[in-house]
Amino acid sequence: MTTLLSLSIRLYSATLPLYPPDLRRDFGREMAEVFSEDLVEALRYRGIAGFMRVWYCALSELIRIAAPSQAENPAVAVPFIIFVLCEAVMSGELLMAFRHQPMALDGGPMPLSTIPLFILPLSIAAAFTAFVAVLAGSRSLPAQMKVSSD
Amino acid sequence: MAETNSPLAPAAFLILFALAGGDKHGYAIMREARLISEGGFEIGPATLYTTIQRLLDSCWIEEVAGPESSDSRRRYYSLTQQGSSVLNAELKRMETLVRKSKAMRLRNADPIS
Repeated sequence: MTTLLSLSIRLYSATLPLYPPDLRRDFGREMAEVFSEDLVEALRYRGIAGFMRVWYCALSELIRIAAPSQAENPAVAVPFIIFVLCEAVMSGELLMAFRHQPMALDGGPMPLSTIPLFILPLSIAAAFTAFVAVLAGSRSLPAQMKVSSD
Repeated sequence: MAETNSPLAPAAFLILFALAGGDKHGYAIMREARLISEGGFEIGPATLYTTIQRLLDSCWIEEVAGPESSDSRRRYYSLTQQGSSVLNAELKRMETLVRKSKAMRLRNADPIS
């Protein structure tokens, strides 16, 4: 149980950088402490159901509060959009190609489940390139226009 | 933050309500808010402190020194005069709505009476 608690608290603390910088700066430590106290109490009095409730609440806040603040950060938003576009375009292209020309090594039809094996590394590479490009572009901008790393 | 004459967001209302009973630290506010809403509204750490930040900015609550016996790392919050007025205005608005809903014999008003 202690391992579950310490792992949960570490995991929650790892999500804190995703929250808006001013919230994290002013209340980051308190947020982690409140989460920890809530989790300990929930586990003690309500068991695993209480534990799940605390995590459900934390994850819904991550979507409601942290995700919109990250969407404003070009260093996160641009690579994410590139990743999604790559996944969509390449999935479509590969799907068409596989239908018309089976390419398995043994000469048989290529299973569709292999598509992610091709496109995932490429999409990650494209997203990483976009991330580096945004950060590099940000360095060449005047100070007031730089991408925040917070 | 909402204007004084606008309905308060549920989290802001519950935090002000919780602090009406006396100064509290973050986790105590969270527990009290759950009790007040009878578990109907879940406040997590991020909602709690996002709302506390807004209430501090609006001067509806303020940070105060905790009791001497308390953990020095904890930050305590107190309702200001302005916050108290806002809470009272909101309670009055709610009372009016309940009174009107009873007068109209709305079905949802039955459990309150």
